[in-house]
Amino acid sequence: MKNKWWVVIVILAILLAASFILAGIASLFMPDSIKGEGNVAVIPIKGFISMDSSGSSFGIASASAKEVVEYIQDAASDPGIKAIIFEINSPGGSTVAPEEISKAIRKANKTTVAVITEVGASSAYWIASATDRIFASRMSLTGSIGTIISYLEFEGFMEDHNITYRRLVSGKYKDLGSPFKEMTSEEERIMQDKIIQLRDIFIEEVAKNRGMEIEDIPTEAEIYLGTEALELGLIDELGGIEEAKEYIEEKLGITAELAEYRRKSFFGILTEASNERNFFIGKGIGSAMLEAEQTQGIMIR
Amino acid sequence: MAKKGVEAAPSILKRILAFIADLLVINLVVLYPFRRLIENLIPSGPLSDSYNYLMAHPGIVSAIYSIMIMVAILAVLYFSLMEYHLGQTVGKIIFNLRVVPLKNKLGYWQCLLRTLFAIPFFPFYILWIADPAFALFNKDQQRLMEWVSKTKTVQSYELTGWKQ
Repeated sequence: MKNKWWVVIVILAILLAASFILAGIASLFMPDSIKGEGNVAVIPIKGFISMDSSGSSFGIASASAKEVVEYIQDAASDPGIKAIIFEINSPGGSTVAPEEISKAIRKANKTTVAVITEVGASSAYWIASATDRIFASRMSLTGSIGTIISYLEFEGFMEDHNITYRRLVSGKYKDLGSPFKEMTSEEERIMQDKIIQLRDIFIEEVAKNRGMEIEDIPTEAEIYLGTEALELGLIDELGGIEEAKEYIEEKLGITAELAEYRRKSFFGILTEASNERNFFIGKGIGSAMLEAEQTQGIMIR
Repeated sequence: MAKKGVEAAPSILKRILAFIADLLVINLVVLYPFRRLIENLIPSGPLSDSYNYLMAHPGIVSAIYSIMIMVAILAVLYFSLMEYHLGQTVGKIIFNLRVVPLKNKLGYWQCLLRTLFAIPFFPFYILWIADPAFALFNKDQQRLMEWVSKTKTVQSYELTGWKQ
Protein backbone atom coordinates (compact mmCIF):
# COMPACT_ATOMS: atom_id res chain seq x y z
CA MET A 1 0.00 0.00 0.00
CA LYS A 2 2.85 2.35 0.98
CA ASN A 3 4.59 1.46 -2.27
CA LYS A 4 1.46 2.37 -4.25
CA TRP A 5 1.39 5.93 -2.88
CA TRP A 6 5.08 6.34 -3.74
CA VAL A 7 4.27 5.47 -7.37
CA VAL A 8 1.41 8.02 -7.29
CA ILE A 9 3.72 10.72 -5.90
CA VAL A 10 6.47 9.99 -8.45
CA ILE A 11 4.03 10.08 -11.42
CA LEU A 12 2.38 13.29 -10.19
CA ALA A 13 5.80 14.90 -9.60
CA ILE A 14 6.90 13.99 -13.14
CA LEU A 15 3.67 15.40 -14.59
CA LEU A 16 3.99 18.59 -12.54
CA ALA A 17 7.58 19.08 -13.75
CA ALA A 18 6.51 18.38 -17.35
CA SER A 19 3.66 20.93 -16.98
CA PHE A 20 6.03 23.63 -15.76
CA ILE A 21 8.49 22.91 -18.59
CA LEU A 22 5.73 22.93 -21.25
CA ALA A 23 4.18 26.11 -19.79
CA GLY A 24 7.63 27.74 -19.92
CA ILE A 25 8.11 26.72 -23.54
CA ALA A 26 4.55 27.83 -24.39
CA SER A 27 5.16 31.28 -22.88
CA LEU A 28 7.97 31.82 -25.42
CA PHE A 29 5.52 31.48 -28.27
CA MET A 30 2.55 33.31 -26.80
CA PRO A 31 1.37 36.55 -28.45
CA ASP A 32 3.66 39.38 -27.37
CA SER A 33 1.19 41.92 -26.10
CA ILE A 34 0.70 40.30 -22.75
CA LYS A 35 -0.67 42.96 -20.46
CA GLY A 36 -0.47 43.27 -16.74
CA GLU A 37 -3.54 43.06 -14.52
CA GLY A 38 -5.67 46.18 -14.19
CA ASN A 39 -8.49 48.18 -15.71
CA VAL A 40 -6.50 51.09 -17.15
CA ALA A 41 -4.11 50.31 -20.00
CA VAL A 42 -0.80 52.18 -19.95
CA ILE A 43 0.75 52.34 -23.42
CA PRO A 44 4.26 53.76 -23.57
CA ILE A 45 5.33 55.96 -26.51
CA LYS A 46 9.03 56.50 -26.04
CA GLY A 47 11.78 57.72 -28.34
CA PHE A 48 11.65 58.32 -32.07
CA ILE A 49 8.22 57.43 -33.53
CA SER A 50 8.16 55.58 -36.84
CA MET A 51 5.80 53.17 -38.58
CA ASP A 52 7.70 49.93 -38.01
CA SER A 53 10.79 49.91 -35.82
CA SER A 54 10.38 49.64 -32.06
CA GLY A 55 12.20 48.74 -28.87
CA SER A 56 15.65 50.14 -28.32
CA SER A 57 18.66 50.06 -30.59
CA PHE A 58 22.03 50.99 -29.19
CA GLY A 59 20.29 52.26 -26.08
CA ILE A 60 18.11 54.74 -27.99
CA ALA A 61 14.41 53.97 -27.55
CA SER A 62 12.00 54.07 -30.46
CA ALA A 63 8.27 53.51 -30.81
CA SER A 64 6.55 51.69 -33.64
CA ALA A 65 3.17 53.08 -34.72
CA LYS A 66 2.18 49.59 -35.85
CA GLU A 67 2.82 48.22 -32.37
CA VAL A 68 1.13 51.15 -30.59
CA VAL A 69 -1.95 50.81 -32.82
CA GLU A 70 -2.02 47.08 -32.04
CA TYR A 71 -1.95 47.83 -28.29
CA ILE A 72 -4.71 50.43 -28.65
CA GLN A 73 -6.93 47.98 -30.56
CA ASP A 74 -6.17 45.30 -28.00
CA ALA A 75 -7.13 47.58 -25.10
CA ALA A 76 -10.19 48.89 -26.97
CA SER A 77 -11.59 45.40 -27.50
CA ASP A 78 -10.86 44.30 -23.93
CA PRO A 79 -14.03 44.74 -21.82
CA GLY A 80 -11.91 44.80 -18.65
CA ILE A 81 -10.07 47.94 -19.79
CA LYS A 82 -11.98 51.13 -19.01
CA ALA A 83 -9.45 53.79 -20.01
CA ILE A 84 -6.11 54.18 -21.77
CA ILE A 85 -3.15 56.27 -20.61
CA PHE A 86 -0.40 57.11 -23.11
CA GLU A 87 2.88 57.61 -21.32
CA ILE A 88 4.77 59.89 -23.72
CA ASN A 89 8.47 60.67 -23.70
CA SER A 90 9.33 61.38 -27.32
CA PRO A 91 10.80 64.22 -29.38
CA GLY A 92 8.66 63.24 -32.40
CA GLY A 93 9.12 61.13 -35.47
CA SER A 94 7.90 60.45 -38.98
CA THR A 95 4.86 62.06 -40.60
CA VAL A 96 2.50 59.11 -41.10
CA ALA A 97 2.98 57.42 -37.72
CA PRO A 98 1.18 60.07 -35.57
CA GLU A 99 -1.79 60.11 -37.93
CA GLU A 100 -2.17 56.32 -37.71
CA ILE A 101 -1.93 56.38 -33.91
CA SER A 102 -4.35 59.33 -33.62
CA LYS A 103 -6.91 57.54 -35.78
CA ALA A 104 -6.67 54.45 -33.56
CA ILE A 105 -7.10 56.63 -30.43
CA ARG A 106 -10.26 58.23 -31.82
CA LYS A 107 -11.67 54.82 -32.78
CA ALA A 108 -10.90 53.32 -29.35
CA ASN A 109 -14.15 54.55 -27.80
CA LYS A 110 -12.63 54.61 -24.30
CA THR A 111 -11.47 57.45 -22.08
CA THR A 112 -7.96 58.35 -23.25
CA VAL A 113 -5.36 60.40 -21.42
CA ALA A 114 -1.87 61.50 -22.45
CA VAL A 115 0.83 61.96 -19.85
CA ILE A 116 3.89 63.81 -21.17
CA THR A 117 6.80 62.96 -18.90
CA GLU A 118 10.02 64.64 -20.09
CA VAL A 119 9.39 65.47 -23.75
CA GLY A 120 6.22 65.28 -25.80
CA ALA A 121 7.07 67.38 -28.80
CA SER A 122 6.06 67.55 -32.44
CA SER A 123 4.44 64.29 -33.66
CA ALA A 124 4.40 63.04 -30.05
CA TYR A 125 2.32 66.13 -29.23
CA TRP A 126 0.08 65.40 -32.24
CA ILE A 127 -0.63 61.98 -30.69
CA ALA A 128 -1.25 63.54 -27.26
CA SER A 129 -3.69 66.04 -28.79
CA ALA A 130 -5.90 63.16 -29.99
CA THR A 131 -6.61 62.07 -26.39
CA ASP A 132 -9.39 63.39 -24.14
CA ARG A 133 -7.00 65.06 -21.70
CA ILE A 134 -3.31 65.97 -21.66
CA PHE A 135 -1.20 66.05 -18.50
CA ALA A 136 2.40 67.29 -18.42
CA SER A 137 4.90 68.16 -15.75
CA ARG A 138 5.59 71.89 -15.35
CA MET A 139 9.11 71.13 -16.60
CA SER A 140 8.10 68.90 -19.51
CA LEU A 141 9.00 70.07 -23.00
CA THR A 142 6.13 70.10 -25.45
CA GLY A 143 4.85 71.87 -28.55
CA SER A 144 7.28 72.11 -31.49
CA ILE A 145 4.33 71.99 -33.88
CA GLY A 146 6.12 71.92 -37.20
CA THR A 147 7.98 69.83 -39.74
CA ILE A 148 11.60 69.46 -40.71
CA ILE A 149 13.60 68.01 -43.57
CA SER A 150 17.31 68.05 -42.89
CA TYR A 151 20.30 66.22 -44.21
CA LEU A 152 24.06 66.61 -44.56
CA GLU A 153 25.30 67.92 -47.87
CA PHE A 154 28.61 66.45 -49.01
CA GLU A 155 29.17 68.31 -52.26
CA GLY A 156 32.06 70.44 -50.96
CA PHE A 157 33.67 67.48 -49.22
CA MET A 158 33.45 65.37 -52.38
CA GLU A 159 34.92 68.18 -54.47
CA ASP A 160 37.83 68.54 -52.03
CA HIS A 161 38.53 64.83 -52.38
CA ASN A 162 38.11 64.81 -56.13
CA ILE A 163 34.97 62.63 -56.04
CA THR A 164 32.43 63.21 -58.80
CA TYR A 165 28.67 62.73 -58.47
CA ARG A 166 27.55 61.11 -61.72
CA ARG A 167 23.92 62.15 -62.23
CA LEU A 168 21.68 59.92 -64.39
CA VAL A 169 18.00 60.70 -63.80
CA SER A 170 14.72 60.22 -65.66
CA GLY A 171 13.38 63.60 -64.51
CA LYS A 172 14.98 66.73 -63.11
CA TYR A 173 13.53 66.27 -59.61
CA LYS A 174 14.36 62.56 -59.30
CA ASP A 175 17.39 63.16 -57.07
CA LEU A 176 15.82 66.03 -55.17
CA GLY A 177 17.35 66.01 -51.70
CA SER A 178 20.42 64.02 -52.71
CA PRO A 179 23.24 64.83 -50.25
CA PHE A 180 25.81 64.56 -53.07
CA LYS A 181 24.86 67.79 -54.86
CA GLU A 182 24.00 71.32 -53.89
CA MET A 183 20.28 71.99 -53.73
CA THR A 184 19.04 74.45 -56.37
CA SER A 185 16.73 77.32 -55.39
CA GLU A 186 13.89 75.64 -57.30
CA GLU A 187 14.41 72.40 -55.40
CA GLU A 188 14.56 74.30 -52.15
CA ARG A 189 11.24 75.97 -52.97
CA ILE A 190 9.63 72.57 -53.66
CA MET A 191 10.93 71.11 -50.42
CA GLN A 192 9.90 74.18 -48.42
CA ASP A 193 6.44 73.98 -49.97
CA LYS A 194 6.06 70.35 -48.82
CA ILE A 195 7.17 71.29 -45.33
CA ILE A 196 4.59 74.08 -45.13
CA GLN A 197 1.83 71.77 -46.46
CA LEU A 198 2.69 69.16 -43.85
CA ARG A 199 2.84 71.79 -41.10
CA ASP A 200 -0.62 73.03 -42.11
CA ILE A 201 -2.04 69.51 -41.89
CA PHE A 202 -0.37 69.13 -38.50
CA ILE A 203 -1.86 72.40 -37.22
CA GLU A 204 -5.32 71.55 -38.57
CA GLU A 205 -5.24 68.18 -36.83
CA VAL A 206 -4.10 69.64 -33.50
CA ALA A 207 -6.74 72.40 -33.70
CA LYS A 208 -9.45 69.84 -34.49
CA ASN A 209 -8.33 67.49 -31.71
CA ARG A 210 -8.05 70.24 -29.09
CA GLY A 211 -11.18 72.12 -30.19
CA MET A 212 -9.10 75.26 -30.79
CA GLU A 213 -9.04 77.84 -33.56
CA ILE A 214 -6.27 77.32 -36.15
CA GLU A 215 -5.06 80.88 -35.43
CA ASP A 216 -4.50 79.95 -31.77
CA ILE A 217 -2.04 77.18 -32.61
CA PRO A 218 1.60 78.37 -32.54
CA THR A 219 3.09 78.11 -36.03
CA GLU A 220 6.76 78.78 -35.35
CA ALA A 221 7.49 75.27 -34.01
CA GLU A 222 8.55 76.63 -30.65
CA ILE A 223 8.94 74.27 -27.71
CA TYR A 224 7.15 75.13 -24.47
CA LEU A 225 7.53 74.19 -20.84
CA GLY A 226 4.52 72.52 -19.24
CA THR A 227 3.49 75.77 -17.53
CA GLU A 228 3.65 77.72 -20.82
CA ALA A 229 1.77 74.98 -22.69
CA LEU A 230 -0.99 75.17 -20.07
CA GLU A 231 -1.36 78.92 -20.60
CA LEU A 232 -1.55 78.42 -24.38
CA GLY A 233 -4.16 75.67 -23.99
CA LEU A 234 -1.90 73.01 -25.49
CA ILE A 235 -2.28 70.85 -22.36
CA ASP A 236 -5.13 70.54 -19.85
CA GLU A 237 -3.42 70.02 -16.50
CA LEU A 238 -0.04 69.91 -14.83
CA GLY A 239 0.71 66.47 -13.44
CA GLY A 240 1.82 62.94 -14.16
CA ILE A 241 0.50 59.39 -13.99
CA GLU A 242 -1.00 59.84 -10.50
CA GLU A 243 -3.01 62.88 -11.56
CA ALA A 244 -4.13 61.06 -14.72
CA LYS A 245 -5.25 58.14 -12.57
CA GLU A 246 -7.25 60.48 -10.30
CA TYR A 247 -8.86 62.11 -13.37
CA ILE A 248 -9.96 58.69 -14.69
CA GLU A 249 -11.25 57.59 -11.28
CA GLU A 250 -13.28 60.78 -10.94
CA LYS A 251 -14.61 60.69 -14.51
CA LEU A 252 -15.54 56.98 -14.62
CA GLY A 253 -16.22 56.38 -10.93
CA ILE A 254 -13.83 53.43 -10.76
CA THR A 255 -10.73 52.48 -8.81
CA ALA A 256 -8.04 52.66 -11.46
CA GLU A 257 -5.49 49.86 -11.55
CA LEU A 258 -2.79 50.26 -14.17
CA ALA A 259 -2.09 47.48 -16.68
CA GLU A 260 1.14 48.02 -18.55
CA TYR A 261 1.07 47.16 -22.23
CA ARG A 262 4.51 46.23 -23.40
CA ARG A 263 6.35 43.27 -24.79
CA LYS A 264 7.19 40.86 -22.01
CA SER A 265 8.14 37.75 -23.92
CA PHE A 266 11.27 35.84 -23.00
CA PHE A 267 12.89 36.87 -26.27
CA GLY A 268 11.87 40.48 -25.65
CA ILE A 269 13.58 40.47 -22.26
CA LEU A 270 16.69 38.88 -23.79
CA THR A 271 16.75 41.46 -26.61
CA GLU A 272 16.36 44.31 -24.15
CA ALA A 273 19.23 42.97 -22.03
CA SER A 274 21.45 42.48 -25.06
CA ASN A 275 20.58 45.94 -26.40
CA GLU A 276 21.62 47.52 -23.13
CA ARG A 277 24.93 45.69 -23.39
CA ASN A 278 25.30 46.81 -26.99
CA PHE A 279 24.74 50.37 -25.82
CA PHE A 280 27.79 50.32 -23.60
CA ILE A 281 29.91 48.53 -26.21
CA GLY A 282 29.07 50.61 -29.23
CA LYS A 283 27.49 53.77 -27.87
CA GLY A 284 29.46 56.20 -30.03
CA ILE A 285 29.21 54.23 -33.25
CA GLY A 286 25.55 53.43 -32.70
CA SER A 287 24.50 56.99 -31.98
CA ALA A 288 26.31 58.28 -35.04
CA MET A 289 24.69 55.65 -37.26
CA LEU A 290 21.23 56.35 -35.90
CA GLU A 291 21.52 60.10 -36.19
CA ALA A 292 22.64 59.76 -39.80
CA GLU A 293 19.71 57.45 -40.52
CA GLN A 294 17.15 59.69 -38.83
CA THR A 295 18.19 62.81 -40.71
CA GLN A 296 16.96 61.20 -43.93
CA GLY A 297 13.33 61.72 -44.96
CA ILE A 298 10.60 64.03 -43.70
CA MET A 299 10.16 64.22 -39.97
CA ILE A 300 7.95 65.98 -37.55
CA ARG A 301 10.22 66.78 -34.68
CA MET B 1 -11.39 -13.85 10.66
CA ALA B 2 -10.60 -14.78 7.10
CA LYS B 3 -10.93 -12.10 4.35
CA LYS B 4 -11.58 -12.59 0.66
CA GLY B 5 -11.89 -10.00 -2.15
CA VAL B 6 -14.27 -10.25 -5.09
CA GLU B 7 -14.55 -7.98 -8.12
CA ALA B 8 -17.77 -6.68 -9.63
CA ALA B 9 -18.96 -3.88 -11.86
CA PRO B 10 -19.00 -0.60 -9.88
CA SER B 11 -21.93 1.74 -9.67
CA ILE B 12 -22.10 4.56 -12.24
CA LEU B 13 -22.13 7.10 -9.39
CA LYS B 14 -18.82 5.81 -8.03
CA ARG B 15 -17.24 5.99 -11.46
CA ILE B 16 -18.45 9.57 -11.93
CA LEU B 17 -17.15 10.57 -8.49
CA ALA B 18 -13.78 8.92 -9.21
CA PHE B 19 -13.60 10.80 -12.53
CA ILE B 20 -14.38 14.11 -10.78
CA ALA B 21 -11.60 13.38 -8.25
CA ASP B 22 -9.20 12.76 -11.16
CA LEU B 23 -10.25 16.04 -12.77
CA LEU B 24 -9.42 17.83 -9.51
CA VAL B 25 -5.97 16.19 -9.46
CA ILE B 26 -5.40 17.20 -13.12
CA ASN B 27 -6.54 20.73 -12.32
CA LEU B 28 -4.05 20.90 -9.44
CA VAL B 29 -1.05 19.19 -11.04
CA VAL B 30 -1.34 19.66 -14.81
CA LEU B 31 -3.37 22.83 -15.27
CA TYR B 32 -1.83 24.93 -12.48
CA PRO B 33 1.37 25.98 -14.35
CA PHE B 34 -0.69 27.01 -17.39
CA ARG B 35 -3.22 29.05 -15.40
CA ARG B 36 -1.22 32.28 -15.43
CA LEU B 37 -0.70 32.05 -19.20
CA ILE B 38 -4.42 31.52 -19.82
CA GLU B 39 -5.41 34.37 -17.46
CA ASN B 40 -3.14 36.71 -19.40
CA LEU B 41 -4.71 35.71 -22.69
CA ILE B 42 -8.41 35.84 -21.83
CA PRO B 43 -9.80 39.16 -20.56
CA SER B 44 -11.97 39.23 -17.46
CA GLY B 45 -15.58 40.38 -17.87
CA PRO B 46 -18.87 39.03 -19.20
CA LEU B 47 -18.67 35.86 -21.31
CA SER B 48 -20.09 37.55 -24.42
CA ASP B 49 -17.43 40.30 -24.25
CA SER B 50 -14.65 37.71 -23.83
CA TYR B 51 -16.07 35.82 -26.82
CA ASN B 52 -16.05 38.98 -28.96
CA TYR B 53 -12.49 39.73 -27.83
CA LEU B 54 -11.30 36.25 -28.81
CA MET B 55 -13.08 36.45 -32.16
CA ALA B 56 -11.17 39.67 -32.87
CA HIS B 57 -7.83 38.05 -31.97
CA PRO B 58 -7.30 34.78 -33.89
CA GLY B 59 -3.67 34.64 -32.68
CA ILE B 60 -4.86 34.37 -29.08
CA VAL B 61 -7.37 31.64 -30.01
CA SER B 62 -4.53 29.63 -31.58
CA ALA B 63 -2.42 30.14 -28.45
CA ILE B 64 -5.26 28.92 -26.21
CA TYR B 65 -5.76 25.91 -28.47
CA SER B 66 -2.04 25.06 -28.23
CA ILE B 67 -2.28 25.18 -24.43
CA MET B 68 -5.35 22.91 -24.54
CA ILE B 69 -3.41 20.36 -26.60
CA MET B 70 -0.52 20.36 -24.10
CA VAL B 71 -2.88 19.96 -21.15
CA ALA B 72 -4.69 17.13 -22.97
CA ILE B 73 -1.42 15.28 -23.64
CA LEU B 74 -0.48 15.56 -19.96
CA ALA B 75 -3.97 14.41 -18.91
CA VAL B 76 -3.67 11.37 -21.21
CA LEU B 77 -0.29 10.64 -19.62
CA TYR B 78 -1.81 10.95 -16.12
CA PHE B 79 -4.53 8.37 -16.80
CA SER B 80 -2.41 5.98 -18.85
CA LEU B 81 0.68 5.97 -16.58
CA MET B 82 -1.36 5.57 -13.40
CA GLU B 83 -3.50 2.79 -14.82
CA TYR B 84 -0.52 1.00 -16.37
CA HIS B 85 1.59 1.05 -13.19
CA LEU B 86 -1.13 0.70 -10.54
CA GLY B 87 -4.29 -0.29 -12.39
CA GLN B 88 -5.76 2.77 -10.65
CA THR B 89 -5.79 6.57 -10.81
CA VAL B 90 -6.06 8.72 -7.66
CA GLY B 91 -9.85 8.83 -8.10
CA LYS B 92 -10.03 5.09 -8.52
CA ILE B 93 -7.85 4.55 -5.41
CA ILE B 94 -10.21 6.72 -3.35
CA PHE B 95 -13.30 4.85 -4.58
CA ASN B 96 -11.66 1.44 -4.61
CA LEU B 97 -11.97 0.93 -8.36
CA ARG B 98 -9.50 -0.90 -10.56
CA VAL B 99 -8.80 -1.34 -14.27
CA VAL B 100 -8.40 -4.95 -15.32
CA PRO B 101 -7.68 -6.50 -18.73
CA LEU B 102 -10.17 -8.97 -20.15
CA LYS B 103 -7.27 -11.25 -21.12
CA ASN B 104 -3.61 -11.56 -20.14
CA LYS B 105 -1.68 -8.66 -18.60
CA LEU B 106 -2.61 -4.98 -18.86
CA GLY B 107 -0.46 -3.38 -21.59
CA TYR B 108 0.49 0.30 -21.92
CA TRP B 109 -1.23 0.60 -25.31
CA GLN B 110 -4.46 -0.63 -23.76
CA CYS B 111 -4.14 2.06 -21.09
CA LEU B 112 -3.43 4.69 -23.74
CA LEU B 113 -6.39 3.61 -25.85
CA ARG B 114 -8.74 3.88 -22.85
CA THR B 115 -7.76 7.53 -22.37
CA LEU B 116 -8.17 8.90 -25.90
CA PHE B 117 -11.36 10.70 -24.88
CA ALA B 118 -9.16 13.43 -23.33
CA ILE B 119 -7.84 14.63 -26.70
CA PRO B 120 -9.65 17.80 -27.89
CA PHE B 121 -9.42 16.99 -31.63
CA PHE B 122 -11.96 15.70 -34.10
CA PRO B 123 -12.92 12.82 -34.00
CA PHE B 124 -11.88 12.23 -30.39
CA TYR B 125 -14.32 14.72 -28.87
CA ILE B 126 -17.17 12.56 -30.18
CA LEU B 127 -16.04 10.23 -27.39
CA TRP B 128 -17.12 12.77 -24.74
CA ILE B 129 -20.70 11.59 -25.49
CA ALA B 130 -20.23 8.22 -27.15
CA ASP B 131 -17.76 6.82 -24.59
CA PRO B 132 -19.93 7.06 -21.43
CA ALA B 133 -23.16 6.48 -23.38
CA PHE B 134 -21.83 3.09 -24.50
CA ALA B 135 -21.54 2.02 -20.84
CA LEU B 136 -25.29 2.39 -20.39
CA PHE B 137 -25.95 -0.37 -22.93
CA ASN B 138 -23.05 -2.69 -22.12
CA LYS B 139 -23.63 -5.56 -19.69
CA ASP B 140 -20.20 -5.06 -18.04
CA GLN B 141 -20.74 -1.28 -17.99
CA GLN B 142 -17.69 -0.81 -20.21
CA ARG B 143 -17.10 2.57 -21.79
CA LEU B 144 -16.64 2.51 -25.57
CA MET B 145 -12.83 2.83 -25.32
CA GLU B 146 -12.74 0.21 -22.58
CA TRP B 147 -14.54 -2.15 -24.94
CA VAL B 148 -12.12 -1.29 -27.75
CA SER B 149 -9.05 -1.71 -25.51
CA LYS B 150 -10.41 -4.95 -24.05
CA THR B 151 -10.34 -3.67 -20.48
CA LYS B 152 -12.93 -2.94 -17.85
CA THR B 153 -13.25 -1.09 -14.57
CA VAL B 154 -14.18 -3.17 -11.52
CA GLN B 155 -14.74 -2.55 -7.85
CA SER B 156 -13.03 -4.73 -5.25
CA TYR B 157 -15.34 -5.89 -2.47
CA GLU B 158 -13.87 -7.37 0.67
CA LEU B 159 -15.86 -10.23 2.13
CA THR B 160 -15.27 -10.75 5.82
CA GLY B 161 -15.96 -14.02 7.64
CA TRP B 162 -15.61 -15.99 4.46
CA LYS B 163 -14.23 -19.53 4.86
CA GLN B 164 -12.88 -21.78 2.21
